Amino acid sequence: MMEATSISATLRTIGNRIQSASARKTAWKQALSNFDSERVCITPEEAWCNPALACRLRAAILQRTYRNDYHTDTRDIPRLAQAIREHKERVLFWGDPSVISEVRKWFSNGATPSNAELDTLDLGTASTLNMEEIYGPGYGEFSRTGSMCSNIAAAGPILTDIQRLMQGDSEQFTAQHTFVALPRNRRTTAEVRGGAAVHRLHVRVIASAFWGLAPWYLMQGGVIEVLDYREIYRDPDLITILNSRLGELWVDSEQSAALVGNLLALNFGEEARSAMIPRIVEKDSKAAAGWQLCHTGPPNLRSFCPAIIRPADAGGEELGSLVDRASEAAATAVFVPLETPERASVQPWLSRNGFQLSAVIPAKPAAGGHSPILAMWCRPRSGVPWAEPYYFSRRATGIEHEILQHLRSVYTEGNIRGAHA
Amino acid sequence: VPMLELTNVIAAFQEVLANKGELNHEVNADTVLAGLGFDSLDFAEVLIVLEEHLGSELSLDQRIEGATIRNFYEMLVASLDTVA
Repeated sequence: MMEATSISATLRTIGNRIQSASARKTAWKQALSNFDSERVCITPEEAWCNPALACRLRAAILQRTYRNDYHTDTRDIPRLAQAIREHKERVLFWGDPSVISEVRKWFSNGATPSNAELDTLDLGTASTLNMEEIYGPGYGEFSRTGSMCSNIAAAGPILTDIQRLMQGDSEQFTAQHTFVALPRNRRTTAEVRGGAAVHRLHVRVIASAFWGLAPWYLMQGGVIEVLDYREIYRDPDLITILNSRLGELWVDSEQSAALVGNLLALNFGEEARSAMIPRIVEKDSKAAAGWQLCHTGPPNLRSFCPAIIRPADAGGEELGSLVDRASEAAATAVFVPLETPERASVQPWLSRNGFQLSAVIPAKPAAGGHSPILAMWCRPRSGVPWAEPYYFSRRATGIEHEILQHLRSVYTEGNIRGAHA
Repeated sequence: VPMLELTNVIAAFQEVLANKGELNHEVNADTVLAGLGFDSLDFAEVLIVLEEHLGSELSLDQRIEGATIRNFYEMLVASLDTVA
């Protein structure tokens, strides 16, 4: 027998340097070489033919997957069907070929099967949403993923759809430069299926970029899951170039500077870290004006969803009052531009008020240049337990080790460091 | 240096079953995988446990219908040998 260390790649726990467009294309093609998507998938474009059915079927699958303990925006069928009709959402389904064949007919002939019929279908689903509201222009999100299908692995359908999306096959979804993913990552228990396998799919097969943690949603079992914040780029080469010449970045501490530098190095290589010039902002900053509460989730789901605060394009309000107004949310996340001290100086105030630097959103192409690299400061709602990523207990090396050391120190054992605890 | 042994693979299946709350489900080398009620995510979790033990990455591209845990172990070893 061979010794393991002599024959296999170093274990990647959270991610790796992002692949070039050509390397990624080759890797995905190889991963899908034996996968027959036509027989087992209903594409989002097919699902657009019957928006109400797409919404109802998606809701049925997700409620069964999460045992009726699923609290995202999936049940307001008329409104969501309208969003699908307007091509603001894409919904993918997969399953056994015999079931897919039947459901495909429903989509093409406008059928309206009963809820009882939908509840018998062991299918999987994943959605792509336009997410400008949260992240700004050019952002989509992969979400609403669940499966009751035990004989078709989710990897094939999901990767096929991502590949089609990236190469522009979905004509109504070509404006996005970035697709965000917040994959589950908690350990499986007897009551709640975990996300380790889905996380592994992201690290190994999809090869999405790891940018930190998003403790945003109150999920199954009344727990805030400390999800990964990950991104997939339509043009990874362009994103690499943009983030390899950033210059001055303003943060609140040496520790924060180290985390930002490590995330840049993990995803773009040491040259990106080297190009970063860390600057520490004044410690006595106040909660400045010029911010907006851009997302709170639907009114009936606000306590399950995050409140997102980011700089206002014009005018805006004082950050402290927005944070107070968001107190009902499962978590509050503040996106802070790092390239100038004016906005970045709010970070010490965030730190003093129980927020933690949880993730980084790298620079993206924008009209006239690029959108700034952002620090994501998060504060889960007080008193709610959370589930940490399964990989917090794993060994890691190099940059991964340093990133995990920081994130473990913030989110571990169901409690948070700092004044908010 | 960690090595992949059949006992590691059996233990990995036991750990994943235990995580799912199936503590009374006995497994051994001759347990047929189809009888475990596992889907692709469960098998991925088995690989995660084994990778943690080895400190290196594993992959399994072969179909495993009708296989036993021993067959699963042999497929993993063969894939490692291929990489080597």
